[in-house]
Amino acid sequence: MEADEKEYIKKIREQVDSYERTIQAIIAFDSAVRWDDAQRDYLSDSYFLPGRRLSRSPNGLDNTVTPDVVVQLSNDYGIVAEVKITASTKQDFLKAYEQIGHYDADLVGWKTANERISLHDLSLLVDDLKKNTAKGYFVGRTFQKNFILIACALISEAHDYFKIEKYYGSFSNPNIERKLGGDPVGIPLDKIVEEMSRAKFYDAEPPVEHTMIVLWMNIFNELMEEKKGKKTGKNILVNTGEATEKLEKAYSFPRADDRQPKVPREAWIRQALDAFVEIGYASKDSKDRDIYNVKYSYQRKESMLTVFTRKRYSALTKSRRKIEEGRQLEFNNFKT
Amino acid sequence: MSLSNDSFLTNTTLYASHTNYEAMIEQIHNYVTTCGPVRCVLFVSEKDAYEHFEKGAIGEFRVERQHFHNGIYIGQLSREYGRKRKKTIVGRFLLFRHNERGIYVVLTNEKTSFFELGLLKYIGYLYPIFTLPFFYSWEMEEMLDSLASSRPQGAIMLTKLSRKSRITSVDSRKKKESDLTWTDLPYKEVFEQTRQNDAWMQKMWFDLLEETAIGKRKVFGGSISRKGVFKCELQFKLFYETILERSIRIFFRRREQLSNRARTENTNYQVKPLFIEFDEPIFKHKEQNRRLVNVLRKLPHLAYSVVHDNPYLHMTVTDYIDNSNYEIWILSDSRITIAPQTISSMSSLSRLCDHISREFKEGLLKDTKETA
Repeated sequence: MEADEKEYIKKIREQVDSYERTIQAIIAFDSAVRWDDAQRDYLSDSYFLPGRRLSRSPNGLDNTVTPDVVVQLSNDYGIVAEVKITASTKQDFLKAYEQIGHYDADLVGWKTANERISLHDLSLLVDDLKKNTAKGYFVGRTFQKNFILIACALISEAHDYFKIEKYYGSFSNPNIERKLGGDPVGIPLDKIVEEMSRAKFYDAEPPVEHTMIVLWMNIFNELMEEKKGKKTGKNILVNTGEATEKLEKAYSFPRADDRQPKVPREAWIRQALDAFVEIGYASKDSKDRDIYNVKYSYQRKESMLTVFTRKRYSALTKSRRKIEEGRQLEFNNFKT
Repeated sequence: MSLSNDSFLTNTTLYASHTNYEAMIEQIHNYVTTCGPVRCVLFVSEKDAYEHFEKGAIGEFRVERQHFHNGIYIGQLSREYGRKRKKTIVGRFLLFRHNERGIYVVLTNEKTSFFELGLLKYIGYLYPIFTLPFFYSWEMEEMLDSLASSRPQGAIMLTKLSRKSRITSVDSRKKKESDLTWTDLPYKEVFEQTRQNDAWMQKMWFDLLEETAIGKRKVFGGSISRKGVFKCELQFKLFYETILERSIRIFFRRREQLSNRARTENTNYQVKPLFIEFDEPIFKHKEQNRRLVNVLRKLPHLAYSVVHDNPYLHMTVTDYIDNSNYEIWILSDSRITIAPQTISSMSSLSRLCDHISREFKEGLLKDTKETA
């Protein structure tokens, strides 16, 4: 394997990993805030509303906001949070600050009778290793609402767990302040494994390879099962809309209502299917742009993530080489 | 339909037109006492197994029905196999469904070659419609416990055993070692030794000895394998009431445990995870994550993708045989979590758990409510 190829595979693996870690952080944060140890269940009348569309009130220029996570603890109180696990630079935090600024207003769209709530806090989840950089950036910046910086870290001990630490600021709700204000809270991953096994997407575009894997391992097998008995070989017809719907139903966070976005987006699925075409695992239907013919063949030598990433690298390199050669040819023609 | 040549019932008749379940057990008992051992294997079927046997020819196999009444099926199976030189193997068998738990038992008095190359191959060929069981070492021990408690005056001695264990040396190229031992030790002692050596049982041969006027005498014997294959000598009723009943109970429980785990629309796509719990913190050493990946890589017809492998392991796997798909997680030092996705069959989960127990380590299968 070439060094460039290795580097590319490593980079993609990291991106896929970060995407998964962000989903885990969202689940762990929800669990830290809403789980009630006494009831051994989530707080009654509380809601987990990832990616919820809320409207700024009174109407501003940019009326709709879509925070990564909205957690509603009661009819009176909620938390609106952004998750920036991969943020590390000043620009990343500036962007996060601007995003959070949009939520610093009365918001409409909560799960209450009039869709309003009396009080909400703002929160930013960052990687534990970047908590000081983040804090340094936010200290001295003021919001109308309470702002809380949360540091997340994956800790490996006898049971792997997510450490959720309130690092800066205070929650306006005394119960939540008591819950998260002291020592960091540990959320064992095996306690949230059901949610982690379900949610493969959140309201942010994943790396293409991530979507390819989810399609290959979780959707193409379903399509294969559906056509069982029909003698059509190992090829399956994939409709982008139908595949998106299957993923939305079974492999993303459950939607509370229409304010929750439909995730994944059809465009992400199309992009992944196009990537299958690039690597020679699929072809586009000549008449219907929504249909792809996928060669679903059994492979087991390597992790499919490695297989797809390597094949994509090779396809990208080939197409780059073709462009270079084309340019060279054009240049030579021009000279002669 | 009745059998013409076996309609006159004697103690030497095994393949008779048995009138009912109890009469069949009685008759098998008479046969074993008088004529010799029988071998049997358990399996479960997705649909009515008799219908499959009725199909006649499937692949290399041909089944001919000779009798079918009250769920008791007697047939003849032939198999033609071999690439260059064709060989044919023919034999008779008796098939019945356990009267309470719906597990099928297929039994024969034919030679080992027919049993292994004919019957077992036929049942294996029909996977995933037919699924064979797998038994952990402690479950095989439980079967002998059941025999011991019904005959407290007797001594159960293991005469031969086949075991496997892990090689821990980092220099070794193989990861497992096997041993086939001829012995004559009380079964409890052997199982204790097996546990201490971190080994697991593949197959064991046993004798039940009882004191008689002329000294200790073998009154019953046979073999038990982790694949659910049994041999019974001298007394069938005792075998049926203790070892077979216990194994059917264990297999029934396992079938229940591994069934209906798929995430479906009816249950709002709820995840129903399963856990394999080990008695030691095996994943404390993170290289064990990699070892598990390598073990799963060797399971035929399984595609996998490793999403994360250190410190925790997260992989997704798809079984190409019946399209079942799972998430596999290692989130604690002593536990593997298997989260079935939208397609999950009992056969596939059983194949996966059996493979992990044989190739990685035996662990206790648990449900969410059974975990700490």
